[in-house]
Amino acid sequence: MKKLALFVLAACLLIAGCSGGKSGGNGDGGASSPGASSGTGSGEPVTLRILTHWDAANTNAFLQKVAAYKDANPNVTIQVETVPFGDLLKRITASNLSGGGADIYHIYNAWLPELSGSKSIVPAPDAYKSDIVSAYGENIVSSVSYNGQIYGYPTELTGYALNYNKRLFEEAGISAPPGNWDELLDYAQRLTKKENGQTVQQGFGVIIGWDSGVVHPWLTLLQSNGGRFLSEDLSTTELDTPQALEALELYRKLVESGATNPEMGLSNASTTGPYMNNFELGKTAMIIMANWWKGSLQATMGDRFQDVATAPIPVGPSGSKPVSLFYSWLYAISAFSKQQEEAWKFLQWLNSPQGEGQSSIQGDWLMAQGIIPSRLSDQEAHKANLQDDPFMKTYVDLLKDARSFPVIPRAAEITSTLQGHIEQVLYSRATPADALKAASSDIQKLISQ
Amino acid sequence: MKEGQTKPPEKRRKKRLESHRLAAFLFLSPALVFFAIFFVFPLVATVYLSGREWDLLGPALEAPGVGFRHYVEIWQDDRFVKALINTFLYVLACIAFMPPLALGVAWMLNEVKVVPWFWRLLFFLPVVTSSVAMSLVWQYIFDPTYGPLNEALKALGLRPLGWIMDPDLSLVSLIIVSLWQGIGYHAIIYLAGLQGIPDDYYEAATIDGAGAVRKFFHITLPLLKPTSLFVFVMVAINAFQAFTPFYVITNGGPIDSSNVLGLYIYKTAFDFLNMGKASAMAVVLFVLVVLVSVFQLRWFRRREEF
Repeated sequence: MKKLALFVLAACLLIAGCSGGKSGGNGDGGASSPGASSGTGSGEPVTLRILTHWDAANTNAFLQKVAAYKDANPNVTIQVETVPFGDLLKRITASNLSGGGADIYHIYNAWLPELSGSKSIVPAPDAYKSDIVSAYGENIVSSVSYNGQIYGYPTELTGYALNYNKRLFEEAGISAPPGNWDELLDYAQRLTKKENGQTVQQGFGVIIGWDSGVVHPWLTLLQSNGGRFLSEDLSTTELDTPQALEALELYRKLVESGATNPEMGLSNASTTGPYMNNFELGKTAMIIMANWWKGSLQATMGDRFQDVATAPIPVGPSGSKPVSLFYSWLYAISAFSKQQEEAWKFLQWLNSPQGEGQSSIQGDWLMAQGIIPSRLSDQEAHKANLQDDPFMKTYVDLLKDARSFPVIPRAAEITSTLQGHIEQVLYSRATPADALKAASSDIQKLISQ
Repeated sequence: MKEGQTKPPEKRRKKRLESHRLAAFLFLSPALVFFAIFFVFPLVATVYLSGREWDLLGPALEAPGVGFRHYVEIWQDDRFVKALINTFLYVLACIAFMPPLALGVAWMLNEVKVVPWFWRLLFFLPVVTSSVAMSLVWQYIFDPTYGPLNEALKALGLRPLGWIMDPDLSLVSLIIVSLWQGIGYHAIIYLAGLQGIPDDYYEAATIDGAGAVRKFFHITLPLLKPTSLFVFVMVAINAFQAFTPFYVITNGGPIDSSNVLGLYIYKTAFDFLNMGKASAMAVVLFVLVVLVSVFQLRWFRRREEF
């Protein structure tokens, strides 16, 4: 009897252990898998899941705007899953491994080589391809394409411009933003304040610890000095040029003069942090930053946001005009989605004008966040807002000559590598010449692999 | 019935032993299945993937084989070498400071007679606090511009420091965080060890005229040897695997000054989508942990002759 009880108990434990492992395996909870949720025939219930990195407020605003789709298509439910930007690509890879996940990925165009190469996303079918080609500018279509295929609907454009604090400029007796690097260096020094040897206000801020935050602003200076990051065919680096050396020398001068304090540039995993706080609190007078932070600045600064102004990237000694940098985002369809046709239909609806001369729902939603829509008809519909808003106007104007961040394989590792070498100069651990030599060699190796 | 009664005792014992073995196996099965799925399989998979060029996006089994290329590549990667050096510095600092500090705290906890549970709870709280939440708080504490630590230094008339934003201090800052978080756990282990030492030894030593210092070095420390072995091994293993504070507080920066192997493996795998190289690094880390643990075990065993 004792033995029997022993066996029964052991068997129960075994069964409990096995079933426990099973029940713990479903990490996502809630939504069922796309394949199981619905069929694709008309009238059958369809749940389209969008994976993105928006915050809760923007997600709610989006869901309110797309509620109209449900009215016209009662069988379709739109769900949004959000993760922090830093986790977005990881979530997509995890979805791939499980063969499930969202139907629509909202992705950074720098990930296109990897996602398309692994067939994680599908190219746009011909009908949607022609819609995209006709509705967006050539450079925008190109930024969502890879190896001759278009991979989705472009969503927003993010560019870079000089942001500065007008109040601090007035206090320093400076009437206009710097137009060239001599002025930039001069103004940055005049805008710097120290107390007991400590920087309490820096003239020009940089970002530390976040790859794109370090690399993109510096590339705008390089490009505005007549230089390039990579050759036209993306096969070689162009960091071993006098223009690149001048651009990194500018950083060295800013740091050595005390006008830039890298210790004030900390960023966190959410790509916000003290570098942003320092600008919002008037401890940083100038910084080159992307337009997406407008919403955050407005929310945090309140009335003090009126002190913020934007200006073109200051032009370097070897440059002739400001050449900013932009990157784009797109909605792409997961190759694992069982309802790809429904997903493309929804995206077309989302991105099409709501009426003659009107913006798309996507365009309205982007504008509400202070983000530049990429669809030409959206830009036209919001022309007045884009031109009247002095903050955004600079970014829009800069887009004409801006270059896209290269869409190449291993972009993340290349960006991270360049970040390290730029930070070496910002921390006076390497001369600009040595840092560029090492960066050029390291990045060339990555490109060649 | 008669037959059963005449069964040789040897056979009965064997049968009983077999059934006990089967029961033991059944009891252990859930744990064994768990161990196989979550420990053995990942280990084998990591070794397998270290010889493949896999970007996490396609099927792993179809990833092309590259032999030992990743094992050669990692030694040519300056960032890996830097992360390896940082990891060793961090492990050494943890081994050097964690056990003595934990023992000191354990001794105090053992001696304190006023609300002892409160003091134990106080030191143990960091252990049960969310590592991410705790890291965010420390990031704020160490912030050179707004952090209360620099405000305290200024109030004392001292020069504020760059802490996590200073390449010379970032690793030190993270060692401080790790000590703060880990001391409570190891102190509780030492406390259990201290309470397991019979008072008779101390009484005999007192009669022989031994002072507090002699008692500590000749009774307490030697009798704590098994506890110390466990603490040293665990401190080293945990330090080799450090990740969360490094990811949240500095993300390995500035300029890789606080980049450690755990973090660099994660970045290589999930940011750079190079799972093969990351797996090769993970195998190297595994070998290092095993070697250091074996060294510690032998080192302690060699000093058994107290």
